[in-house]
Amino acid sequence: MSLSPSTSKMLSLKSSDGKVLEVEEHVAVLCETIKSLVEDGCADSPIPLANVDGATLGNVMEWCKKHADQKASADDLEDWDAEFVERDQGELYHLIMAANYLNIKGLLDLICQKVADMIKGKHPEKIREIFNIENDFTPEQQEQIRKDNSWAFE
Amino acid sequence: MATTLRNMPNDIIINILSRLPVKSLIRFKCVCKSWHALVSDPNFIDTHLNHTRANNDGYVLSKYRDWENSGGEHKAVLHCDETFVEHTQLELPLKSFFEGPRVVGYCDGLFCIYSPKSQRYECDVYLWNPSIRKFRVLPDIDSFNGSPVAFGFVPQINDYTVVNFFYDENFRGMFSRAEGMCITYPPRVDIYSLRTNSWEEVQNVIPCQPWDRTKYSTLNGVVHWVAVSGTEENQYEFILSFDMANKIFGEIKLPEYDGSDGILLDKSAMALMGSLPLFVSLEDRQRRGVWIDIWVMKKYGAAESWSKQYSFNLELNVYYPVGFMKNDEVVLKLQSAELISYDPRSQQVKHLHVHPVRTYLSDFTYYTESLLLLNEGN
Repeated sequence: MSLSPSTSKMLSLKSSDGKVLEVEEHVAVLCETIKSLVEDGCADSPIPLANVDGATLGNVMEWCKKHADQKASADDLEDWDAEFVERDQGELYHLIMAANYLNIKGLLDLICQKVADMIKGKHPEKIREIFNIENDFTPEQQEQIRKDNSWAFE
Repeated sequence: MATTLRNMPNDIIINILSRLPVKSLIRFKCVCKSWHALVSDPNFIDTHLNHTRANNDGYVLSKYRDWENSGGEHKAVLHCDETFVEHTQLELPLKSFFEGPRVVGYCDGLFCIYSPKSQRYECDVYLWNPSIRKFRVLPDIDSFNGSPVAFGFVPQINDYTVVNFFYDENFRGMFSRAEGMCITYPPRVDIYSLRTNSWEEVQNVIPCQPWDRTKYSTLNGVVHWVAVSGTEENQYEFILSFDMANKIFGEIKLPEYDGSDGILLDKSAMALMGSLPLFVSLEDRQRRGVWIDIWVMKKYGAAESWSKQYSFNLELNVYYPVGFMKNDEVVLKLQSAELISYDPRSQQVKHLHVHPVRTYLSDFTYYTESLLLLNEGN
């Protein structure tokens, strides 16, 4: 089967909230999950994507379209990506979950790097807030960890 | 409040955290119990390391003696890896006496340090991870008054190895090239494994002496030294190789060079120039200054594939080559103790910004952070 842009056909993708998106096949197959459906001949029309909402799917396909473009240079992509990840936490969260579900390594790594840059050097309290994590240490345990690693809190 | 990054699958958390500097990770140990366990997990430490290795960002480390402030105490300094501008000072974890500590080798954020304890041959050998302030003193062995000659990663067994050479009294005295000593007796060789924290003696050692114990290079778990062997009348130099995974010594022929001195360069250079050992010779061709030749072995192990990649003579009082920078530039020490870098392709000379007191700097190594030894007690 040829997946080259010239012969690429259209695929329809259906989001969790029922929105249908028409995407060129050579763009959509950047998602490993969709690629294996296409290769196995199981790409129903439309392909239901139960874990991705319409807005996020649009963003994901925008990224795929840019990265499927053979003409884009590495520098160009880097600049474009840097702008692409300038989003609020909510959007980043949905993009990470979608990239994970659709199995797009490049996009997942990009967003994970963005989140890493965002949380670097922050205080543990802030991290709990960002990730909605409950502090399950006793105050004594907490104090001990801080004491043992005091240099990291300077 | 903005939507939080809630309930993320563990592999995504690992993906994010493996991109963080170690200081942040140590801090995040007190976020919650599961993050605490994750950061100390050996698999996570490996994942984090693979990420750091792939990104290759880091510093250059050198050491010097601080005569100005602390009576000659040994200090280690991190420099920017392009300009050599000083970045951070590191405190060595153990005090050292007499001739001071010697960096045996560096690998993946870990330094192997040989640290004399007294003027008699007592010493500590320890592995040190400055980025998380952890170290491990290696168990003593009888032959410690020999010296560790290499430290490296063995990918085949995912372990770190220290190689120690010991010459007992059967080995005839100190070696000096000028006197042409007879080297027909093998050293005792022991290797240390970080994984098992124990030493093991190696069999079938080739009678020889590494030419300069501080200069070696590792490639795919094999260490290489320029070594010398043979009787007084029939002495020869070669590259001694030691396969740390299979514990086997080997010999590789040197190119036919007419220089006065040869050293193997470190692996940062090898990686750039085709992952094969390199060789530099210096000589004084009728007092026309120091020539530097850089040889590359195009096909690993094949002596006929040595070729002279670069050969140059700078109109400067070059003392000796120190090493290679990441971008293939050669770092040279001048007689004036100044450091310069030279790009053999564009033939450009750059002066490196190293503090004059610290030009004791005689070797340097690329340094990246890691979490290795995180679970040590200290």
